[in-house]
Amino acid sequence: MAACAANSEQKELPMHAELFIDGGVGFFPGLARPIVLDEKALSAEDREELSRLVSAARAEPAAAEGAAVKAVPDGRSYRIRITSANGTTEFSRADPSVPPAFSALMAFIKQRGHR
Amino acid sequence: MCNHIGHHRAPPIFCILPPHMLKEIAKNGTPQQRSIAIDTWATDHTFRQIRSVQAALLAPRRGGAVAPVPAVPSARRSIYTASHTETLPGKLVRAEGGPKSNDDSVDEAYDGLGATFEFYLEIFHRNSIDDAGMPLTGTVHYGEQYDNAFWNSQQMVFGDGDGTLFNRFTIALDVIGHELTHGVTEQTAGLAYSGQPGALNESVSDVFGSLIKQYTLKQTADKADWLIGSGLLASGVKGVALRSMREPGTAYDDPVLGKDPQPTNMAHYVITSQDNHGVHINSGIPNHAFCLAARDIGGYAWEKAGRIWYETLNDSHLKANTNFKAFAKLTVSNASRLYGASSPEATAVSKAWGTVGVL
Repeated sequence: MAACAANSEQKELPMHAELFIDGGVGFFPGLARPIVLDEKALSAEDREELSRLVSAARAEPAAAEGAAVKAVPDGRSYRIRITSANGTTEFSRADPSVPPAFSALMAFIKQRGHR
Repeated sequence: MCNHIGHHRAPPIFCILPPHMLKEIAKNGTPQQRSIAIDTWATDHTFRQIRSVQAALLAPRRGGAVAPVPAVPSARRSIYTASHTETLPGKLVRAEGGPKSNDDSVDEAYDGLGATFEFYLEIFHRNSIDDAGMPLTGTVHYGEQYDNAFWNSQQMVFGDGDGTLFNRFTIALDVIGHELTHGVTEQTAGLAYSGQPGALNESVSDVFGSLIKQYTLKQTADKADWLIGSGLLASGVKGVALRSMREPGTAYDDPVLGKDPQPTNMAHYVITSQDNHGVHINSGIPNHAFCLAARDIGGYAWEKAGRIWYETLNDSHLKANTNFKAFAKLTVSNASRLYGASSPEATAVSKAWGTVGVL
Protein backbone atom coordinates (compact mmCIF):
# COMPACT_ATOMS: atom_id res chain seq x y z
CA MET A 1 0.00 0.00 0.00
CA ALA A 2 2.83 2.33 0.95
CA ALA A 3 4.64 1.51 -2.33
CA CYS A 4 1.43 2.13 -4.29
CA ALA A 5 1.00 5.45 -2.48
CA ALA A 6 4.60 6.40 -3.24
CA ASN A 7 4.24 5.50 -6.91
CA SER A 8 1.02 7.43 -7.05
CA GLU A 9 2.78 10.51 -5.60
CA GLN A 10 5.54 10.24 -8.23
CA LYS A 11 2.99 10.12 -11.03
CA GLU A 12 1.27 13.16 -9.53
CA LEU A 13 4.50 15.20 -9.49
CA PRO A 14 3.69 18.16 -11.72
CA MET A 15 6.07 19.31 -14.41
CA HIS A 16 8.07 22.34 -13.39
CA ALA A 17 9.91 24.39 -16.02
CA GLU A 18 12.57 27.03 -15.50
CA LEU A 19 14.03 29.25 -18.22
CA PHE A 20 17.38 30.90 -17.56
CA ILE A 21 18.46 33.67 -19.95
CA ASP A 22 22.01 34.99 -19.83
CA GLY A 23 23.95 37.46 -21.97
CA GLY A 24 22.67 40.16 -24.29
CA VAL A 25 23.72 43.78 -24.87
CA GLY A 26 23.62 44.39 -21.15
CA PHE A 27 23.33 42.60 -17.84
CA PHE A 28 20.11 43.40 -15.98
CA PRO A 29 19.90 41.84 -12.51
CA GLY A 30 16.10 41.71 -12.63
CA LEU A 31 16.11 39.81 -15.90
CA ALA A 32 18.80 37.38 -14.73
CA ARG A 33 16.30 35.60 -12.47
CA PRO A 34 14.74 32.52 -14.08
CA ILE A 35 11.21 32.48 -15.47
CA VAL A 36 9.36 29.63 -13.77
CA LEU A 37 6.27 27.77 -14.81
CA ASP A 38 4.49 25.14 -12.77
CA GLU A 39 2.14 22.78 -14.49
CA LYS A 40 -0.30 23.10 -11.57
CA ALA A 41 -1.03 26.67 -12.60
CA LEU A 42 -2.09 25.63 -16.11
CA SER A 43 -5.36 24.50 -17.61
CA ALA A 44 -5.61 20.90 -18.78
CA GLU A 45 -5.23 22.07 -22.37
CA ASP A 46 -2.10 24.07 -21.57
CA ARG A 47 -0.61 21.17 -19.62
CA GLU A 48 -0.92 19.01 -22.69
CA GLU A 49 0.62 21.74 -24.82
CA LEU A 50 3.55 22.11 -22.38
CA SER A 51 4.15 18.38 -22.42
CA ARG A 52 4.05 18.33 -26.23
CA LEU A 53 6.47 21.27 -26.47
CA VAL A 54 8.91 19.68 -24.02
CA SER A 55 8.89 16.42 -25.96
CA ALA A 56 9.47 18.28 -29.23
CA ALA A 57 12.35 20.32 -27.77
CA ARG A 58 13.94 17.18 -26.33
CA ALA A 59 13.71 15.44 -29.69
CA GLU A 60 15.53 18.22 -31.55
CA PRO A 61 19.13 17.36 -32.56
CA ALA A 62 21.94 18.13 -30.10
CA ALA A 63 19.50 18.77 -27.26
CA ALA A 64 21.62 16.69 -24.92
CA GLU A 65 21.86 17.57 -21.27
CA GLY A 66 24.46 20.25 -20.66
CA ALA A 67 25.50 20.38 -24.31
CA ALA A 68 28.06 23.12 -24.81
CA VAL A 69 26.84 26.10 -26.77
CA LYS A 70 29.01 28.78 -28.35
CA ALA A 71 27.61 32.24 -27.88
CA VAL A 72 28.50 35.34 -29.90
CA PRO A 73 29.36 38.68 -28.22
CA ASP A 74 26.14 40.20 -26.88
CA GLY A 75 24.25 37.12 -28.00
CA ARG A 76 22.03 35.42 -25.46
CA SER A 77 22.27 31.90 -24.11
CA TYR A 78 19.21 30.02 -22.94
CA ARG A 79 18.89 27.09 -20.54
CA ILE A 80 15.68 25.22 -19.80
CA ARG A 81 15.42 22.93 -16.81
CA ILE A 82 12.47 20.54 -16.69
CA THR A 83 11.66 18.73 -13.47
CA SER A 84 9.02 16.03 -13.52
CA ALA A 85 8.25 12.54 -12.32
CA ASN A 86 10.88 11.35 -14.79
CA GLY A 87 13.64 13.35 -13.13
CA THR A 88 15.39 16.54 -14.19
CA THR A 89 16.57 17.45 -17.67
CA GLU A 90 18.44 20.53 -18.80
CA PHE A 91 19.17 21.69 -22.32
CA SER A 92 20.79 24.81 -23.66
CA ARG A 93 20.95 26.89 -26.81
CA ALA A 94 22.55 30.21 -27.78
CA ASP A 95 21.96 32.98 -30.30
CA PRO A 96 21.87 32.72 -33.23
CA SER A 97 21.42 28.93 -33.22
CA VAL A 98 18.07 28.50 -31.50
CA PRO A 99 16.03 25.81 -33.26
CA PRO A 100 12.25 26.07 -33.66
CA ALA A 101 11.01 23.61 -31.03
CA PHE A 102 13.30 25.03 -28.34
CA SER A 103 12.18 28.53 -29.36
CA ALA A 104 8.51 27.54 -29.12
CA LEU A 105 9.00 26.06 -25.65
CA MET A 106 10.80 29.24 -24.54
CA ALA A 107 7.96 31.40 -25.84
CA PHE A 108 5.41 29.27 -23.96
CA ILE A 109 7.32 29.51 -20.68
CA LYS A 110 7.75 33.29 -21.11
CA GLN A 111 4.05 33.81 -21.84
CA ARG A 112 2.68 31.72 -18.99
CA GLY A 113 5.49 31.82 -16.43
CA HIS A 114 6.74 34.49 -14.07
CA ARG A 115 9.94 35.63 -12.44
CA MET B 1 50.97 70.37 -49.56
CA CYS B 2 49.18 67.35 -48.08
CA ASN B 3 45.55 67.91 -47.16
CA HIS B 4 44.10 64.49 -46.49
CA ILE B 5 40.50 64.28 -45.37
CA GLY B 6 40.02 64.50 -41.62
CA HIS B 7 43.61 65.52 -40.80
CA HIS B 8 45.54 68.62 -40.02
CA ARG B 9 47.86 69.62 -42.87
CA ALA B 10 51.14 67.73 -42.80
CA PRO B 11 54.41 69.40 -43.81
CA PRO B 12 55.08 68.70 -47.50
CA ILE B 13 58.16 66.59 -46.73
CA PHE B 14 55.97 63.96 -45.12
CA CYS B 15 53.94 63.59 -48.31
CA ILE B 16 56.86 62.71 -50.61
CA LEU B 17 58.61 60.34 -48.25
CA PRO B 18 58.41 56.61 -49.00
CA PRO B 19 56.56 54.38 -46.50
CA HIS B 20 59.68 52.82 -44.97
CA MET B 21 61.05 56.26 -44.10
CA LEU B 22 57.74 57.33 -42.56
CA LYS B 23 57.80 54.20 -40.40
CA GLU B 24 61.31 55.00 -39.16
CA ILE B 25 60.22 58.52 -38.20
CA ALA B 26 57.15 57.06 -36.50
CA LYS B 27 59.46 54.90 -34.43
CA ASN B 28 62.35 57.23 -33.66
CA GLY B 29 61.22 60.85 -34.16
CA THR B 30 60.09 63.45 -31.65
CA PRO B 31 56.52 63.06 -30.40
CA GLN B 32 55.27 65.63 -32.92
CA GLN B 33 57.21 64.04 -35.78
CA ARG B 34 55.93 60.61 -34.78
CA SER B 35 52.33 61.81 -34.65
CA ILE B 36 52.49 63.43 -38.08
CA ALA B 37 54.33 60.47 -39.62
CA ILE B 38 51.74 58.01 -38.29
CA ASP B 39 48.89 60.12 -39.66
CA THR B 40 50.56 60.55 -43.03
CA TRP B 41 51.56 56.91 -43.41
CA ALA B 42 48.06 55.68 -42.58
CA THR B 43 46.40 58.08 -45.02
CA ASP B 44 48.95 57.51 -47.76
CA HIS B 45 48.49 53.76 -47.41
CA THR B 46 44.88 54.10 -48.51
CA PHE B 47 45.78 56.45 -51.35
CA ARG B 48 48.67 54.28 -52.51
CA GLN B 49 46.28 51.32 -52.72
CA ILE B 50 43.84 53.38 -54.80
CA ARG B 51 46.67 54.64 -57.06
CA SER B 52 48.02 51.11 -57.61
CA VAL B 53 44.58 49.89 -58.63
CA GLN B 54 44.15 52.85 -60.95
CA ALA B 55 47.58 52.15 -62.47
CA ALA B 56 46.58 48.54 -63.11
CA LEU B 57 43.47 49.83 -64.84
CA LEU B 58 45.54 51.92 -67.24
CA ALA B 59 48.18 49.23 -67.93
CA PRO B 60 47.73 47.09 -71.09
CA ARG B 61 46.00 43.79 -70.32
CA ARG B 62 46.59 40.50 -72.11
CA GLY B 63 43.77 39.83 -74.55
CA GLY B 64 42.59 43.44 -74.40
CA ALA B 65 40.13 42.74 -71.57
CA VAL B 66 38.74 45.72 -69.73
CA ALA B 67 40.00 45.99 -66.17
CA PRO B 68 37.41 46.26 -63.41
CA VAL B 69 36.56 49.65 -61.91
CA PRO B 70 38.98 50.33 -59.04
CA ALA B 71 37.41 49.92 -55.65
CA VAL B 72 37.37 52.96 -53.40
CA PRO B 73 36.31 52.36 -49.83
CA SER B 74 32.56 51.95 -49.62
CA ALA B 75 30.32 50.70 -46.83
CA ARG B 76 28.64 48.21 -49.19
CA ARG B 77 25.60 47.99 -46.94
CA SER B 78 22.81 45.47 -47.26
CA ILE B 79 19.85 45.59 -44.90
CA TYR B 80 17.59 42.58 -44.62
CA THR B 81 14.41 41.82 -42.73
CA ALA B 82 13.97 38.52 -40.92
CA SER B 83 10.21 39.25 -40.82
CA HIS B 84 10.03 38.15 -37.19
CA THR B 85 11.65 34.79 -37.86
CA GLU B 86 15.16 33.80 -36.81
CA THR B 87 16.31 33.02 -40.32
CA LEU B 88 19.38 34.99 -41.39
CA PRO B 89 19.98 37.08 -43.31
CA GLY B 90 16.34 37.21 -44.43
CA LYS B 91 14.92 39.26 -47.30
CA LEU B 92 16.93 42.16 -48.77
CA VAL B 93 15.11 45.45 -48.29
CA ARG B 94 17.74 48.11 -48.80
CA ALA B 95 21.06 47.86 -50.63
CA GLU B 96 23.96 50.33 -50.73
CA GLY B 97 22.83 53.54 -52.35
CA GLY B 98 19.20 52.45 -52.28
CA PRO B 99 16.38 54.88 -51.37
CA LYS B 100 14.98 55.26 -47.87
CA SER B 101 12.37 52.67 -46.96
CA ASN B 102 9.19 53.28 -44.99
CA ASP B 103 10.64 51.24 -42.16
CA ASP B 104 12.44 53.12 -39.38
CA SER B 105 14.41 50.01 -38.36
CA VAL B 106 15.71 49.51 -41.90
CA ASP B 107 16.75 53.14 -42.32
CA GLU B 108 18.31 53.41 -38.86
CA ALA B 109 20.33 50.25 -39.45
CA TYR B 110 21.43 51.57 -42.86
CA ASP B 111 22.45 54.95 -41.43
CA GLY B 112 24.12 53.42 -38.36
CA LEU B 113 26.23 51.01 -40.39
CA GLY B 114 27.19 53.91 -42.64
CA ALA B 115 28.12 56.19 -39.75
CA THR B 116 30.29 53.46 -38.24
CA PHE B 117 32.02 52.79 -41.56
CA GLU B 118 32.63 56.51 -42.12
CA PHE B 119 34.04 56.97 -38.61
CA TYR B 120 36.57 54.16 -38.90
CA LEU B 121 37.59 55.24 -42.41
CA GLU B 122 37.87 58.97 -41.77
CA ILE B 123 39.44 58.87 -38.32
CA PHE B 124 41.52 55.69 -38.36
CA HIS B 125 41.75 54.99 -42.10
CA ARG B 126 40.23 51.61 -41.46
CA ASN B 127 38.41 50.25 -44.48
CA SER B 128 35.46 48.51 -42.80
CA ILE B 129 35.51 45.98 -39.95
CA ASP B 130 38.40 43.94 -41.34
CA ASP B 131 40.29 46.87 -42.94
CA ALA B 132 39.77 45.11 -46.25
CA GLY B 133 36.38 46.42 -47.32
CA MET B 134 34.17 43.81 -45.66
CA PRO B 135 30.55 44.45 -46.76
CA LEU B 136 28.30 45.55 -43.91
CA THR B 137 25.16 43.48 -43.50
CA GLY B 138 22.34 43.97 -41.03
CA THR B 139 19.12 42.11 -40.38
CA VAL B 140 16.22 43.86 -38.63
CA HIS B 141 12.96 42.48 -37.20
CA TYR B 142 14.77 39.40 -35.94
CA GLY B 143 12.58 37.07 -33.89
CA GLU B 144 9.42 37.97 -32.02
CA GLN B 145 9.80 40.97 -29.68
CA TYR B 146 13.48 40.06 -29.44
CA ASP B 147 15.01 42.28 -26.76
CA ASN B 148 18.55 42.33 -28.10
CA ALA B 149 21.08 42.95 -30.86
CA PHE B 150 24.32 41.16 -31.65
CA TRP B 151 27.18 40.69 -34.15
CA ASN B 152 27.64 37.08 -35.29
CA SER B 153 31.07 37.56 -36.96
CA GLN B 154 29.39 38.06 -40.32
CA GLN B 155 26.56 40.50 -39.79
CA MET B 156 24.54 42.63 -37.41
CA VAL B 157 21.26 41.33 -36.04
CA PHE B 158 18.62 43.62 -34.49
CA GLY B 159 15.50 42.81 -32.52
CA ASP B 160 12.41 44.98 -32.27
CA GLY B 161 12.28 45.01 -28.48
CA ASP B 162 9.10 44.17 -26.61
CA GLY B 163 7.88 47.78 -26.38
CA THR B 164 7.50 47.46 -22.61
CA LEU B 165 11.11 47.29 -21.48
CA PHE B 166 12.98 48.00 -24.71
CA ASN B 167 12.41 49.89 -27.92
CA ARG B 168 13.74 48.71 -31.27
CA PHE B 169 17.48 48.09 -31.12
CA THR B 170 18.32 50.14 -34.21
CA ILE B 171 17.28 53.28 -32.37
CA ALA B 172 20.67 53.83 -30.69
CA LEU B 173 23.63 54.69 -32.95
CA ASP B 174 26.15 53.87 -30.24
CA VAL B 175 24.71 50.36 -29.88
CA ILE B 176 25.15 49.82 -33.63
CA GLY B 177 28.71 51.09 -33.38
CA HIS B 178 29.24 48.92 -30.29
CA GLU B 179 28.20 45.74 -32.09
CA LEU B 180 30.28 46.42 -35.21
CA THR B 181 33.27 47.19 -33.02
CA HIS B 182 33.08 43.62 -31.71
CA GLY B 183 33.98 42.75 -35.27
CA VAL B 184 36.95 45.12 -35.21
CA THR B 185 38.14 43.60 -31.94
CA GLU B 186 37.73 40.13 -33.42
CA GLN B 187 40.00 41.17 -36.32
CA THR B 188 42.62 42.85 -34.12
CA ALA B 189 43.21 41.98 -30.47
CA GLY B 190 40.77 39.07 -30.33
CA LEU B 191 40.07 39.69 -26.64
CA ALA B 192 38.50 36.56 -25.16
CA TYR B 193 34.85 37.05 -24.18
CA SER B 194 35.09 36.22 -20.51
CA GLY B 195 36.33 37.80 -17.29
CA GLN B 196 38.62 40.81 -17.58
CA PRO B 197 39.56 40.30 -21.26
CA GLY B 198 35.83 40.06 -21.97
CA ALA B 199 35.09 43.21 -19.99
CA LEU B 200 37.81 44.92 -22.04
CA ASN B 201 36.19 43.58 -25.20
CA GLU B 202 32.89 45.09 -24.04
CA SER B 203 34.53 48.34 -22.99
CA VAL B 204 36.29 48.77 -26.34
CA SER B 205 32.90 48.40 -28.01
CA ASP B 206 31.35 50.97 -25.67
CA VAL B 207 34.28 53.35 -26.22
CA PHE B 208 34.08 53.31 -30.00
CA GLY B 209 30.29 53.11 -30.00
CA SER B 210 30.23 56.29 -27.95
CA LEU B 211 32.87 57.93 -30.15
CA ILE B 212 30.85 57.16 -33.26
CA LYS B 213 27.85 58.88 -31.69
CA GLN B 214 29.96 61.85 -30.58
CA TYR B 215 31.60 62.13 -34.02
CA THR B 216 28.22 62.05 -35.76
CA LEU B 217 26.84 64.71 -33.42
CA LYS B 218 30.14 66.67 -33.45
CA GLN B 219 30.24 66.74 -29.64
CA THR B 220 33.30 67.48 -27.57
CA ALA B 221 34.13 65.25 -24.61
CA ASP B 222 32.65 67.68 -22.11
CA LYS B 223 29.38 68.01 -24.04
CA ALA B 224 28.85 64.27 -24.67
CA ASP B 225 26.42 62.41 -22.41
CA TRP B 226 28.64 59.29 -22.25
CA LEU B 227 25.53 57.10 -22.13
CA ILE B 228 25.35 53.81 -24.02
CA GLY B 229 21.97 52.97 -25.48
CA SER B 230 20.18 56.19 -24.65
CA GLY B 231 16.65 55.91 -26.08
CA LEU B 232 16.66 52.14 -25.97
CA LEU B 233 14.73 51.80 -22.73
CA ALA B 234 10.98 52.08 -23.25
CA SER B 235 9.05 54.96 -21.68
CA GLY B 236 7.94 53.92 -18.23
CA VAL B 237 11.23 52.21 -17.44
CA LYS B 238 13.10 53.99 -14.68
CA GLY B 239 16.38 54.58 -16.45
CA VAL B 240 18.15 56.59 -19.13
CA ALA B 241 20.37 54.07 -20.91
CA LEU B 242 21.97 50.63 -20.77
CA ARG B 243 25.16 52.00 -19.22
CA SER B 244 26.88 55.23 -18.23
CA MET B 245 30.58 55.65 -18.88
CA ARG B 246 30.69 58.84 -16.88
CA GLU B 247 28.81 57.46 -13.88
CA PRO B 248 28.79 53.66 -13.98
CA GLY B 249 26.02 52.20 -11.87
CA THR B 250 23.52 55.01 -12.46
CA ALA B 251 22.00 54.20 -15.87
CA TYR B 252 18.83 52.59 -14.45
CA ASP B 253 17.11 51.56 -11.25
CA ASP B 254 13.87 49.88 -12.20
CA PRO B 255 11.54 47.41 -10.44
CA VAL B 256 11.80 44.93 -13.34
CA LEU B 257 15.33 45.49 -14.68
CA GLY B 258 16.85 45.92 -11.24
CA LYS B 259 19.63 48.39 -10.49
CA ASP B 260 22.56 49.08 -12.81
CA PRO B 261 25.30 46.85 -11.33
CA GLN B 262 28.36 48.47 -12.94
CA PRO B 263 31.23 49.41 -10.61
CA THR B 264 33.33 52.56 -11.11
CA ASN B 265 36.56 51.13 -9.72
CA MET B 266 38.40 47.95 -8.82
CA ALA B 267 37.35 48.20 -5.17
CA HIS B 268 33.90 47.11 -6.30
CA TYR B 269 34.91 44.62 -8.99
CA VAL B 270 32.14 42.03 -9.32
CA ILE B 271 32.99 38.34 -9.21
CA THR B 272 30.22 36.33 -10.85
CA SER B 273 29.70 33.38 -13.15
CA GLN B 274 26.81 35.14 -14.89
CA ASP B 275 27.26 37.29 -17.97
CA ASN B 276 30.42 35.40 -19.02
CA HIS B 277 31.92 36.29 -15.66
CA GLY B 278 30.69 39.85 -15.68
CA VAL B 279 31.76 41.24 -19.07
CA HIS B 280 28.93 43.82 -19.15
CA ILE B 281 29.30 44.52 -15.45
CA ASN B 282 33.01 45.13 -14.93
CA SER B 283 33.35 46.94 -18.27
CA GLY B 284 32.24 49.93 -16.20
CA ILE B 285 35.78 50.23 -14.85
CA PRO B 286 37.70 50.62 -18.15
CA ASN B 287 34.74 52.61 -19.53
CA HIS B 288 35.10 55.10 -16.74
CA ALA B 289 38.87 55.29 -17.24
CA PHE B 290 38.37 56.21 -20.90
CA CYS B 291 35.73 58.82 -20.08
CA LEU B 292 37.97 60.39 -17.42
CA ALA B 293 40.98 60.47 -19.74
CA ALA B 294 38.97 61.90 -22.65
CA ARG B 295 37.39 64.65 -20.54
CA ASP B 296 40.75 65.48 -18.97
CA ILE B 297 42.44 65.76 -22.37
CA GLY B 298 39.53 67.78 -23.74
CA GLY B 299 38.42 68.55 -27.30
CA TYR B 300 36.94 65.83 -29.46
CA ALA B 301 37.44 62.53 -27.69
CA TRP B 302 38.17 60.56 -30.88
CA GLU B 303 41.18 62.71 -31.77
CA LYS B 304 43.53 61.82 -28.94
CA ALA B 305 41.95 59.50 -26.36
CA GLY B 306 40.28 57.54 -29.17
CA ARG B 307 43.53 57.36 -31.09
CA ILE B 308 45.37 56.05 -28.04
CA TRP B 309 42.74 53.36 -27.54
CA TYR B 310 42.74 52.44 -31.23
CA GLU B 311 46.54 52.18 -31.31
CA THR B 312 46.31 49.96 -28.24
CA LEU B 313 43.71 47.73 -29.89
CA ASN B 314 46.13 47.23 -32.77
CA ASP B 315 49.16 46.83 -30.51
CA SER B 316 50.76 43.41 -30.95
CA HIS B 317 51.30 43.24 -27.18
CA LEU B 318 47.54 43.14 -26.65
CA LYS B 319 46.60 39.48 -26.39
CA ALA B 320 43.38 37.50 -26.13
CA ASN B 321 43.84 37.07 -22.37
CA THR B 322 45.06 40.57 -21.52
CA ASN B 323 43.74 41.81 -18.17
CA PHE B 324 42.84 45.33 -17.03
CA LYS B 325 46.28 46.18 -15.67
CA ALA B 326 48.14 45.07 -18.78
CA PHE B 327 45.68 46.92 -21.02
CA ALA B 328 46.05 50.07 -18.93
CA LYS B 329 49.83 49.90 -19.21
CA LEU B 330 49.56 49.55 -22.96
CA THR B 331 47.35 52.64 -23.22
CA VAL B 332 49.91 54.61 -21.21
CA SER B 333 52.73 53.25 -23.36
CA ASN B 334 50.90 54.17 -26.57
CA ALA B 335 50.00 57.60 -25.21
CA SER B 336 53.68 58.14 -24.41
CA ARG B 337 54.76 56.96 -27.84
CA LEU B 338 52.27 59.22 -29.60
CA TYR B 339 52.49 62.34 -27.46
CA GLY B 340 55.47 61.97 -25.15
CA ALA B 341 55.95 60.35 -21.76
CA SER B 342 55.39 63.64 -19.90
CA SER B 343 52.66 64.91 -22.20
CA PRO B 344 49.26 66.00 -20.87
CA GLU B 345 47.76 63.11 -22.85
CA ALA B 346 49.90 60.40 -21.27
CA THR B 347 49.43 61.97 -17.84
CA ALA B 348 45.64 62.04 -18.28
CA VAL B 349 45.55 58.38 -19.26
CA SER B 350 47.75 57.31 -16.36
CA LYS B 351 45.73 59.39 -13.90
CA ALA B 352 42.45 57.96 -15.18
CA TRP B 353 43.58 54.40 -14.59
CA GLY B 354 44.77 55.40 -11.13
CA THR B 355 41.39 56.89 -10.31
CA VAL B 356 39.59 53.64 -11.15
CA GLY B 357 42.12 51.64 -9.15
CA VAL B 358 43.69 49.66 -11.99
CA LEU B 359 47.12 51.34 -11.88
